[in-house]
Amino acid sequence: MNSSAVSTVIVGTLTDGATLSLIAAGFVVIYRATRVVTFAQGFFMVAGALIFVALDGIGALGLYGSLVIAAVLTGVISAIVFRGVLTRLIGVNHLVTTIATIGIATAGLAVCDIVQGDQTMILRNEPLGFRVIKIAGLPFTPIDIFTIGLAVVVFALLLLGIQRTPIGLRMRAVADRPTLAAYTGISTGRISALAWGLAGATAALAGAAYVLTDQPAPETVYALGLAAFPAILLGGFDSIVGAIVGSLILALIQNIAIYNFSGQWEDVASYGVLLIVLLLRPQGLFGSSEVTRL
Amino acid sequence: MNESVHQTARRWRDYLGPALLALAAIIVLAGGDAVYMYQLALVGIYAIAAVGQQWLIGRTGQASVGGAAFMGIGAFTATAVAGHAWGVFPLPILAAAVAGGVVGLLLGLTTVRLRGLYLLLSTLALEYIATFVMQEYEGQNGGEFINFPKIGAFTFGQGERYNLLLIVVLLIVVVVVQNLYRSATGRTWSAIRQNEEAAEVAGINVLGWKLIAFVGSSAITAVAGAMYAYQLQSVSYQTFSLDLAISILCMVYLGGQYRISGAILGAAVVTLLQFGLQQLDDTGSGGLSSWLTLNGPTLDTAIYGALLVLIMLFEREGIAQLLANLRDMVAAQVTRFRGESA
Amino acid sequence: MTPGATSGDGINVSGLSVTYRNGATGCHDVSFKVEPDEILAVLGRNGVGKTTLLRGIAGFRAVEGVHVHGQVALDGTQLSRNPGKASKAGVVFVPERDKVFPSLTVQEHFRLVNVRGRDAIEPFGFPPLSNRWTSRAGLLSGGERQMLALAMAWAQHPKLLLVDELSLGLAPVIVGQLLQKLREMAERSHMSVILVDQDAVAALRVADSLLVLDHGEVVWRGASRDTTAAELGTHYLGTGV
Repeated sequence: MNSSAVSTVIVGTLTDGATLSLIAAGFVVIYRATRVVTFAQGFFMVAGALIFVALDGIGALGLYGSLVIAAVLTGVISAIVFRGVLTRLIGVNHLVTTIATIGIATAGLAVCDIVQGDQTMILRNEPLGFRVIKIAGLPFTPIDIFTIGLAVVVFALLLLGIQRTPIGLRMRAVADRPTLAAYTGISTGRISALAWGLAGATAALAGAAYVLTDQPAPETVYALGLAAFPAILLGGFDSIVGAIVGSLILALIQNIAIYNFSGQWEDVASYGVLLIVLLLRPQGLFGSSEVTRL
Repeated sequence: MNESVHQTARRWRDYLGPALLALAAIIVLAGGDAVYMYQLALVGIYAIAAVGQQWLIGRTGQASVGGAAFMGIGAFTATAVAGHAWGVFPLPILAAAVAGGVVGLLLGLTTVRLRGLYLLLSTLALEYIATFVMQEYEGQNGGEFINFPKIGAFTFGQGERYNLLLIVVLLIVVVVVQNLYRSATGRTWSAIRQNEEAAEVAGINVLGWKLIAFVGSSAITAVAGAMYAYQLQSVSYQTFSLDLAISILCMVYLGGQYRISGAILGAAVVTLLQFGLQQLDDTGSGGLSSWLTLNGPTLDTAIYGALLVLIMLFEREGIAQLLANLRDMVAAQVTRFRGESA
Repeated sequence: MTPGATSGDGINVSGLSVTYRNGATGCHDVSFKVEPDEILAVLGRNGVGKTTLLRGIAGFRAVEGVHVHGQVALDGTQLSRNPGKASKAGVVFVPERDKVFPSLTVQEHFRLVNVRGRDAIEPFGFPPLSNRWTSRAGLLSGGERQMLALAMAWAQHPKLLLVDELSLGLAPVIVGQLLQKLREMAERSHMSVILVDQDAVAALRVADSLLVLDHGEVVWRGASRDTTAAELGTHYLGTGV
């Protein structure tokens, strides 16, 4: 590969990795707090993207305002979904809860499709422009920088929040030993709802980032949500750091595959990775051994 | 003579299967327009696929979204075989079954150590990899065509003839699977579903039986794919998407994951939802009608997605169980009535 | 022992029954009282329903397949079935397994129950915990973990402390120290303690009164000074102590 190809792959890896890691982090937060393997992140991506585009269409909030509100609203939707459906399935086996998330995702995506109608999701104008910015000799577009920056900020907040705040401490306690947490007076229901809310918000941000980059149809956005699974598995279901690393590695493999072969190879490469991880090291790079007992 | 509720219910159930089959044959022979016949054909095709997938998912407890992949494998194999002069009916179908079985075996061997959700994820991988292979194949060979099956001069053409053939295939599949389930081997798969470790300890060769379930289930699903190819007369990798896989999963759970009738029921419900919405559309007026035309298929998806959630929440054994409860209630009433008038 | 030195009627359990949906009975129609300052030991063979009894008092989460009947009153007020609410009402449960959070440090455990700084736990002199302030609980020894669990429980100012199998897996010397601490805690803060333990000898040393369970029902009740471990062993516990 020549150097311009290398640059393209690196930039692609960082940007795609950023988007994937937002989705994956949400999944991990949900898994740690409630032990649910959710297929619904894709749906929250789409919902968030739709809300973002709608808010942007109204124009009153500006780019960042629309982004934040879209994230918050999607987080609320996610928390409601959790309270409405998942709380009734506590203690039931994991497969059932996952199938329920598949049902939610299917129905939710269909509703988004209907709302969106025939069109792909297009922003009112191009808020970030297209000029190429060189950083360390690598060619970034403003959207690339935005996406990466977004991921960095989100992860900084997330990791700091979980490690340093009282509520983060309670989340870690619930993730570690949920029953003991309940006996210690922690409201596990509220913590779990918060976890789902956070996951919905990060998914929404990922969806919005995708809309900024492209003009996708809802299905395409949802497919990206599923594409995060290889990254999640690679990193380990219960590790946020794993989500970041797994996403970057997957994005790298995807970009190399696309460069060397063609767009069609992206999925095969990703799912090939998934299979290899499943067969060789199901707990992923950073997951705890508890994860294999699914 | 007074029968117990159980006996009454069971008698009804034994008559029910043949009765429904007769009903199905009558419906098909009664005829209808092309769209109607097509919808019935789809029900039949998906019913075969659902019965196949249910063997793996419901009876043996191995989660899978591989339904679409195996249908695709069956469809492409059948089309390829039928393209040759020696590929006369029923060879394409048999070839599809073999292809499906082989890939199913491979899947089983690769994922033998995986359980539950990990297995589900690996079938997700299968879906994408299979789609890729089909896409490449299609790219190399262009779109291939397959004609309706024929024996000698008799063609099972579009409409009644094809649908009757479909019923025959479905019948064969159901009879085979039902006999398997009712035998001791059927209980073996149930035992594996309930507790793999316990089954192992009890001396069951879990690996062997799981592989058989993988092979059989995949072969049947591939047969469904072959029949689908005949119906569409040409296949593309795009038909066998994750959407299809999830809708087959929904059929299995919606209908009832533990009963063959459940699989058929689920296939009917999911397929006919769309048809029903279309009927609504035709009789409706103006705004609603055009909205339904535009959004019918998606609304259908939203509905069965929601139904899946409801089933998981409230009746994990699906609609078939709800109907069975209804049947028991009615049987109880009838028995009481008979008892009172005796 | 000065009962009634502070507020509280203690705990009053009446007709507590816990059954599982599969038909198995946890415990059946258990009734007893525990005063403030009093330590009640619940004894019995494995599987007779001792843990179920404790959990029935602490409040089961709405777990599938469990039915709890009967009343539990603390200082005259009925307790709810929600473990979160029960803990706010002053009932703290130290379970047999999973009694600490392995990935949290000792310091974080205390922060979880609103204790800042090591000084707050000094009154009971849990020096080993002071030394391991920043260690993760998963790395502590069995005795240290039990100590942490007790300290964390006490920091929640319980009116009723439930301890399940304190002595399991611990050396007798450590068990003795822990039970002594328990005694001090009970007297210091006038809390009631219900202790479930397989080690009848150790339990008898520290308990004021006893409850013996067999097949989920109470088969002996009384003051600890009225019996010996040997007697209990032969008649009820199936052990020849």
